[in-house]
Amino acid sequence: MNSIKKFEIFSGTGGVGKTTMATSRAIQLASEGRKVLLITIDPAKRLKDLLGLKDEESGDVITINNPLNQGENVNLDALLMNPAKTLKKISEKTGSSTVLNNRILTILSKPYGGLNEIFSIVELQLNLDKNIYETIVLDTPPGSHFLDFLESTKKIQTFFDQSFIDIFNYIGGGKSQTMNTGKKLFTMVVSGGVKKLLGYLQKVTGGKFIEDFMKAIGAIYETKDVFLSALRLQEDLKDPELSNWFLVTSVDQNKIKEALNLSTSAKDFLNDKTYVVLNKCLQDRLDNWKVDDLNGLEFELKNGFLKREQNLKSDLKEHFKQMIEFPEIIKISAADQVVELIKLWNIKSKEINI
Amino acid sequence: MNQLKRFYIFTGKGGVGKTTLSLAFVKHLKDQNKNAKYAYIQTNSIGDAPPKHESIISETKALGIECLPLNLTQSAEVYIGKKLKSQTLGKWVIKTPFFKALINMIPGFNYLIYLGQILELLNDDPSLIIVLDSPSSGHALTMLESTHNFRDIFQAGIVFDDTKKMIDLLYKDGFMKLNIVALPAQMAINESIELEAKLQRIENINTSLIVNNTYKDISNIELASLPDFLIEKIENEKVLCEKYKEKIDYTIAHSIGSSEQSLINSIVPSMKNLV
Repeated sequence: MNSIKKFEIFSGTGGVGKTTMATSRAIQLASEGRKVLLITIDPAKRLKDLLGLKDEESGDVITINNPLNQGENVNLDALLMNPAKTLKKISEKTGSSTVLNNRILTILSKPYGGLNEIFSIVELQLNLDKNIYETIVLDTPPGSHFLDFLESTKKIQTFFDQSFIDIFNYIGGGKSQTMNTGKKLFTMVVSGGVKKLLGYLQKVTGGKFIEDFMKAIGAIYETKDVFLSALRLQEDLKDPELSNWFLVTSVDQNKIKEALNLSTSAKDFLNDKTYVVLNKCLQDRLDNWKVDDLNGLEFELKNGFLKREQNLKSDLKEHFKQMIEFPEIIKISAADQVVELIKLWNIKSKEINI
Repeated sequence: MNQLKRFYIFTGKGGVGKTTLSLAFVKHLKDQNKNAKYAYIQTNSIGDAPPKHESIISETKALGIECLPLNLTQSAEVYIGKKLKSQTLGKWVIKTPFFKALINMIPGFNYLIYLGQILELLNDDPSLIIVLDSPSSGHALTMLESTHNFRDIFQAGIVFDDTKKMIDLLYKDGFMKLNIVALPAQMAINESIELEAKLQRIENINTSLIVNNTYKDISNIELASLPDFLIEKIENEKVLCEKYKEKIDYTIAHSIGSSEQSLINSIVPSMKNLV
């Protein structure tokens, strides 16, 4: 019997079917009767339609009953990332409403404001705290932005590092008086060590921004417990006993270097327990393709496919001990594709005991 | 033939061929004796040593095209330095932990700085054309929204004035074009069309949708000689391209080339369509 992992994290270079892989894996786990939550950042509308997820519901956990007709008793919880909603949850959790009233934070928590990476780690923590999920499947942002996701904990740390904490300590503990005016905070900071810098910044960004920015920092500082508890999650994510990592890549994608770069830059997280998922393999079909004319276009085409796939596999084998191969599913309907993938996950998970 | 623009962006999911197409496009412009540069994002955080990207360096060298690596530390130094009218000050400001934390924490700001740098370069040299191998789709939105977001965030000051100038320039008729690249699959094409719609919500952006790596367009290919799975793939491609023919501007055939460079050279001729 395989041990149930608390987290399953799907990363990859983008355009490799990462979200579809994560979704089909989540449904497969759910169909085994596990209580599963799928967190996904920016899935294609088509995939949302398939799952019956609506944009208006993004940011809320939605229970999908009988996903893709996998059975009436199959239920999957899913969450579409919505930074504005996450901000609201942070506010509720910490009892601080300041974060919701800040102009800068409101703009940055628009869907493409860029806070998705940091907030997805917060969501992970918030949902973990509910203590109802056996496994949370996380679909991370693509490519090097996946590193942003990993680095987000580091960024949180930098943000709350000593220099900031000093500023706030300097201003004094009393929250109510500290945080109600950014201007006051600003004056305090200016009289502190960062005076010169803020002076220049003010020239560049305008004074109103500095004032609002100080307010934003103050507001975030009020909610720092949420961010700092998300930081602790980092250790769990690194622990192979608690987390399965899947690095998804695809044969039709000329991104082997990127995938390998990703694995080196993220070596703290990806280790020899990481599964590399190779999508869209054609090997079996190519082996059955008999070509007679060794000078023709067909031979060149077949050889091109074969070489591409074999090179990729041998490169990957050098870096990863565990590879899961998925054949390319040649079906035009996205629903049929996901259903096929669920079946394949079923087989693979038994084979490799995950 | 379309009129030449000053600034081209190639975006799309990872692995769809953005880099290959961007390089081929610059090569095409070079062949027309245009002063074109290939720009790419080297690193996105301040302080980290940028990776070497040896493959890009060797490929651009082999193709004889000029490279414009964008890295946040340098771009921010130059940008802030220009705004404060002192490079020394620029260097100093971005080295402070406060600014580092600020820029790394507020995500879209890096893109604003890159855009600022690109537009300055285009402004300084009226003959220059920049082709940006842009980050994948979601982040292209973050990038193009950044001017609007920071205009709303700052409301005054030098960067605020700058964002307004940037918006005016970017969306001036015939200045910029954005090429969205997708592979010939239902979900991929759908996502690109969604991206197009989301971009249109920012401003009236001139976009094209390019479907790359199609098997149906390989010249001299005979269906009868192919195995069933390839016939099925080709049939699916045809169905998709027919279904979305109003949306798809160009398709580019799968190249049976061995090296990256021969692949790039083989698609250079079709690049004239992307002007």
